[in-house]
Amino acid sequence: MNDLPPRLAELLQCGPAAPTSLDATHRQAIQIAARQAWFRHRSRRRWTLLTCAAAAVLVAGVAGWTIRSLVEGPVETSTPIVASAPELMAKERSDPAALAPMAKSMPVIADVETNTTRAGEGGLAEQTAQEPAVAMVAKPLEGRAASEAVAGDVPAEPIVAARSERRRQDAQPPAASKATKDAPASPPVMAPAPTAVALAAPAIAAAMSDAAPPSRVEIPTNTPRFGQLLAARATLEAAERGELAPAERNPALRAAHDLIAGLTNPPAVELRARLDAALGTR
Amino acid sequence: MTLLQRYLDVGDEGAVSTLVERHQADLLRTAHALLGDASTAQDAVQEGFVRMCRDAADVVGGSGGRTSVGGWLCTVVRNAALDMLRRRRAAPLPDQIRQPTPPQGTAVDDASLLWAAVDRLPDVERAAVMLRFRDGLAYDEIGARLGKTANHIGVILHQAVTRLRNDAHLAGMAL
Repeated sequence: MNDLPPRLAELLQCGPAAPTSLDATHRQAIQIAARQAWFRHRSRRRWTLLTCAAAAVLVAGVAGWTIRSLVEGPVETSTPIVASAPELMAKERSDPAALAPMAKSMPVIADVETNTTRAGEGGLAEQTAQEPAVAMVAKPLEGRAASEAVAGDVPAEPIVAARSERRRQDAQPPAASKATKDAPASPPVMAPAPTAVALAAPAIAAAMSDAAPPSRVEIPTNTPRFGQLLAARATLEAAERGELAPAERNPALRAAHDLIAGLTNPPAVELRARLDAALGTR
Repeated sequence: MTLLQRYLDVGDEGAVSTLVERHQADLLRTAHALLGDASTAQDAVQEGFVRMCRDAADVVGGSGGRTSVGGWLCTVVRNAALDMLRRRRAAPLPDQIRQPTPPQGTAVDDASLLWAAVDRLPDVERAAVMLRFRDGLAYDEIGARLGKTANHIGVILHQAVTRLRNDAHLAGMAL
């Protein structure tokens, strides 16, 4: 059997007894460990909660977006305004009122060259600063670029391209441009690409005037940098109609004057003379 | 389990103290039976409570909340004690510090001979003998503390008693 002899059992019972309680040192160690472990538990629980909350928000967002797209269908994007300058000019001449709604949604162009608002100069520059950024592009806008230009996002690359195009034109000898003017049968050498400025300026002019303004400076479409001329003319006509605030009028006219300062073709000279006259009256 | 849950929820250290008060005696008895040393047994029990605090979430949530804290603690303390025994064997004490074995024919008391024989028993057998004959526990209680079934404890005790009888007979003890 498993019973020890009585003598051995008696000796075992008289043996060293097991301790019945922990001493103070071990108790204190347990308390410290308990405190540290609880802080770890708490931080782990917070992280878990944060992670769950973030996951729930993400799932809810995705679900909401999915439901919305299912209910409403695909979001339609606005049709980009892509038109060539001659077409737009022709349309402006035939039916100016047709372009008015489009013009109202487009910002006023102040500085064609740099697309900067030039703080402190006032006039159209300040007006441009209050408006969304204006797209200054030197090549036809298509697709996404066109929609971005309408929406106010100005891609940096076309601006750089416009500036380099301007420098290239300035570097051309005057004889070359004269030769271009003397040969109307040939395709226009400079053929300024229809820019957003070119698209916007006639529309702005049409929107600003219910009727055709008197004594308009006719600007042929193959005139070099006619976009600047159009913008300067729009500024001048706005000033003549008294649509510019008195404080903004002269700075705007000066900005328009500076805009066409380097141009020597007859429309530019005539427009500059009118701008000088307008500046001299005040 | 509610005490441990309270500790987890609000960090109540009083709940841990209550658990220590409630289970320390049994755990110390088991650890001492295995280790044979009071201070090392206290270290093993402390290790068990520290692990309980560290793994409280697992203990509370383990097995659908049906885990017994006492049983869990007993298992942890037993394993800690066995680990300490293994480490102790891996680094044995120098010969001069060991308990000297009395030479044959020397007049030594029966208690010393008996404890020397108990020390020579395997770990589980020694613990079973201590819990059975020193603390007077039943087989199922011993089995719960040592992680064995009651029948297995009976077998273990039979082997241990046989060894002790033989040793006592060899030592010439008066049984």
